[in-house]
Amino acid sequence: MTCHVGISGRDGSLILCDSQLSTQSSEIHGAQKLFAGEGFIIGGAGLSVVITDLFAELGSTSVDATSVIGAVETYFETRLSDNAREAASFLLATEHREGGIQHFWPEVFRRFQRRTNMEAIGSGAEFVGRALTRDAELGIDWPRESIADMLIMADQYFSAANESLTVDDQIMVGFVSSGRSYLMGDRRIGPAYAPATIVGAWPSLTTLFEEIMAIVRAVRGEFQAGARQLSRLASCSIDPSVFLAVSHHQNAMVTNRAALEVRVNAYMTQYDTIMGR
Amino acid sequence: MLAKDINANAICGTGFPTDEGTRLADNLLSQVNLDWSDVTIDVQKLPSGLLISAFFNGFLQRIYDTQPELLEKARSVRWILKFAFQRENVSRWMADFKPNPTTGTKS
Repeated sequence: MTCHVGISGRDGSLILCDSQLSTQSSEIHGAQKLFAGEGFIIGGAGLSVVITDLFAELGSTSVDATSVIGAVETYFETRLSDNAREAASFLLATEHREGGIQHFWPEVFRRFQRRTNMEAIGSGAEFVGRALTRDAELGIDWPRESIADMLIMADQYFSAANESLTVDDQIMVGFVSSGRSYLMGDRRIGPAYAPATIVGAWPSLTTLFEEIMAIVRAVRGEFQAGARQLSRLASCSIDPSVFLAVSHHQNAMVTNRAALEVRVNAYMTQYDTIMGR
Repeated sequence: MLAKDINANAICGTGFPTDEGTRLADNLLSQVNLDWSDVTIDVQKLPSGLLISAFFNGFLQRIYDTQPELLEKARSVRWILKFAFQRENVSRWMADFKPNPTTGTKS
């Protein structure tokens, strides 16, 4: 089982997920649960043999952002037994003005669900949903304009799924922007469904990913520290020092967000160069 | 006087950043004959979410609250950090820190 968090915004769409595969008696880490195709990312939760077989199928055919939905639905109708239909679900990320995230839940629906701007699947999805509800009550609204924004927001809600026993902290991220798809992830994840040039360059790409995620965590840390200051309102003990401290955290967030934008852009440039596009 | 290389991972936990920065400062302040002009602190193994402004401000504030005469030397501590963005941040925070005279008690 797993947790995938999908977010769509101004500059594209993104899915962040863990890399754990579980059986009744064992855990396997470092598994790739995202597939990057032409203009789309798809992530799977559930029975690993179904996920990997679908990824292999998508990799062996010329599927793009406009044909992937039909290809996945056809795969489930023609290749799986009725019993196996309930064994997996998928999250698709494409670029679309009306929301780039779509959930395919074949246990219940024969077709992909309507477009949305955010969705989570897997055993950790329940935790993500609870965190979203609580944040909505508090009026917390994370920006999701740039890929960097979406990455911060996805990691924020993914962290809520760490309470799930079947979610690990070896992260993989797939995103699509300007018609191109990208994969990035933890050094311990062995990419199996990616172009050979990306597999070969994975150690180099993960070095930049480590810094990217360190900045994400720093931004979230500053936010958490600022929110902790403001929570003194609960005890009616806000004074001017609170606003001074919060302004320090905000300044650090602004600086780190700018650094994150630079690193994400550098990653995309490096990835495009490796892909020869 | 002893020059000192500090491994922060052996001192700091995973609490709130201000508290962990304070804990690090307390550890250094407790060391007799420490040469404050030659201190290196390795924080590479601490979580990135901990190494935020609150951690370093908490560190310097505790120094100021306890032995204010050490503040300027504490600003010059050498920090070993893993990433370039962290080095830029810490350099700026060390220079910009303004002690809050109302917190803590001076000895």
